[in-house]
Parts: sequence; C-alpha cells; structure tokens
Amino acid sequence: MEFTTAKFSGPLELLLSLIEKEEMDITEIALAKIADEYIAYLKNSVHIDPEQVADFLVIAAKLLYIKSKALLPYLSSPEEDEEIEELEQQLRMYKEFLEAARGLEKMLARKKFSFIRDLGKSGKRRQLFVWQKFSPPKNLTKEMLREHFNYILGFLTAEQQELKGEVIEYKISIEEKISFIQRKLLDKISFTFSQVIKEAGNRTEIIVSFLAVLELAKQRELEFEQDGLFSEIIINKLN
Amino acid sequence: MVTLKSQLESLLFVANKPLTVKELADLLKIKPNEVEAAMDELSADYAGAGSGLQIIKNNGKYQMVSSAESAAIVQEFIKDETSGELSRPSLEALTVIAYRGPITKIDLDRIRGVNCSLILRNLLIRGLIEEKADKEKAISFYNVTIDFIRYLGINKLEDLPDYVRLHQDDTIAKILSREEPMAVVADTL
Repeated sequence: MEFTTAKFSGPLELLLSLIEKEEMDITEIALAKIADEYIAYLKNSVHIDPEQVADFLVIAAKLLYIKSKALLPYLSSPEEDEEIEELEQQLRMYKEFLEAARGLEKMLARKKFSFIRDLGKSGKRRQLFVWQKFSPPKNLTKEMLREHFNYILGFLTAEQQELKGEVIEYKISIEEKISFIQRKLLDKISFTFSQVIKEAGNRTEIIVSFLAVLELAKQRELEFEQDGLFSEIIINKLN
Repeated sequence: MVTLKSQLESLLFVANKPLTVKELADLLKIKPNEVEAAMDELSADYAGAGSGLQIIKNNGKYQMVSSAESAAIVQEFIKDETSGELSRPSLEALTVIAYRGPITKIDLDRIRGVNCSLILRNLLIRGLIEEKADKEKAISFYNVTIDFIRYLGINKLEDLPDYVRLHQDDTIAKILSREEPMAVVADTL
C-alpha cells in the first residue's frame, strides 16, 4: 500500500497500518519508530478530512513525545509514560474492533439478508445502505420544532461563571520601544543604554528595550559599543 | 389448545413490524420475562427447524422475517438491489455499536480515536442505528437497529463472532471509564 496516498478512516487506523507494515507489535519502540512516517503522512494531509485534522494532530503530539523520550530517556515523566501506555492499549483495542469490522464486512458481503413483508407507505423498501437525503416527516410543524428545541434547551442549564479579578499589567511592545529609541535618536546622536531604560517600570521592559536596540542595530539605524562586561552600553546613531 | 408460543407467533405474523417485549406483555397480560422466555424459545424453534421464516431479536424487540438462507431468491423476487456495502468509517462505527451497544458517543469516539458526530448522524438517518436518550443524565445511547440485524444473516447480536468477549472486555471497559477523553476533541455542542 502506498501510504502517502492511502486514505485512512482515522489516526488509529493510520498508526496501526504503519506498525503492521513494519511487522512490529504494538509497543513503545514501534511507536517511536514510525513517528516520522506518521508525521510525513500528516504533512501530505490532503487526504485527511478537515473535520479530523485535530484528532490526527493529538496522536502526532503523542508520537513526538514518544520519539523524544526514546532519544532522551531522562526526560520522561510518570504521567506522560502512563499516556503512552494508554495509547498502546487504545491501539490494541482499536485493532480488535478493526478485525471485527472486517468480519462484519464479510457477513454483509454474503448477502444473507432477511426480508420483511412491509413495503412501507411509499410502496418501496427502505434502502439502508444507500445514502439518503434527510427529509423531515410531512406532518412536521413549526410548533413541533419549537417544542423540541425548547426541550433540548431544558438540558442546558446556564453555567454561572464567576469572573476572576486580575490586575492587567501594562505591557510594552517591541514596536513601541523601537519608535521610542528612534525618536531619541532624532534628538541626540549618542546616548547610553541606561538613559533608555531610565523610565523602565520592570524587568520585562528592560529586556524589551534591549531587544529593540538589537533590532535597530540589525536594521543599521544605530550601532553600540561596550568597553567591558557589564559596563555602560553607548548607543550611536548611524548615517 | 392455544399456547403462549402460538399466540406470539400469530401476533408476529400479523404485526408485520418489530414488537417490543413490553407491548406483548401488556397485550397478553403477563410478565415481560415470560414473554421473553417464550419468544426466545419460539425463535430457537424456527432456527432449529431450518424454516423459511426466522424470528430475530434486538434491543427488546422481536420481528418475523424471511430466512437468511433464502435471501438470494427473495431478493430476486422483490427486485431488491441492496449491496450491503458501507464506507469504511460507517462500517467501523457500526461494528463498535453492534458489539458495545448501548454505547455513548464519547465511548465510540474513544474507541475510534476520532469524533464520530457526522457518522452517527448519517447512520441514524439511514436507519442503521437508533438513539435512546437518558433524560435524567442528558446523554444518548446508541444501538444498531433490528433492520441492520436483518442484513447480517444472524438472529441476534449475540450470534456475532466473538460477541461475548468484545462485549464484556475488561480492558475496554477500563479504558472507557477513564476520565480524560483520549485523542478526542471535545464536541462543540
């Protein structure tokens, strides 16, 4: 089977096919080994039903963890190991049902159907295996729909969520810092980094300021010099 | 002398639709378990006699149908063209529901590792499965329909290969009882 073009009914089927192709049992080692192939399939995900992409990605994340654990065993944690165990069990369980499904497919293919005498109101027998368009019953009224909808709404009790109080910190963006420094460069062609961070309220703002300086240096708007470790940084305008 | 079995046989023949144990018990003014015992016996009589009629059972309902063995000739007579073909995902979901029913959507999702909303809707519309809502818990359970049983050539789900093992499997029950849904994205509804 060509895996890059085959269509699978879900992530577990893909996983199982990859393992069986390698003639391996469902183990952690097997899962680590096929992680790359699984992800390669996802990259070529034109065959995946958009509705299912998230389900495929959940498994991809688990495989990446298993693979990283195989490479760096000391990084594992008991909870995550339990998840691997669960994935293995889930896969074994899925395999059982996949085999059962093949059994059912064979049973249906024998066409040992039983029939009933009823031809239904339309005089035609219901076609269970043919896709049918949904058509509401003829006697369905608007009132009935409303009644049913209210009935369903009855299940949904509005959850009262308490709003948590949180103090929002003033955050400065790197863009803001860059324009601040650019404005400063219009006034003076040279100043120190200490002057830039003089009004900085917190550590984050200092870091953002430093990043802004680096970015402007990269864009060739300024250059900076420093005599030694931890000494003052002098910023000079370029051009 | 009329026996309970013969009365039930006549009712099934005339009814021409699935009859529930409850309906029959109410009608005959006997206990549901008496109906069930007599119906199971009647069903076994038909199966043992190699009759052209069979009595199939599913989810507390019984129905008289033509025997699976004469399927070909009956199909020709009524010009039925059912192929019995299903898409892979539909077949998988039906298998899980057949073996594990009554089953909730979340458990079906866990076994298949994908969200099965669309498939469930599709199977419901086609009459292959039916939904039973538990109003108190506000959850639905799914079963295959008696109509689907008619296409498998069996008289009841227990006749499926490996039914007891897959239906009662402890490991499966254990996995399904875990709180965290695995590999399943929560339904938006």
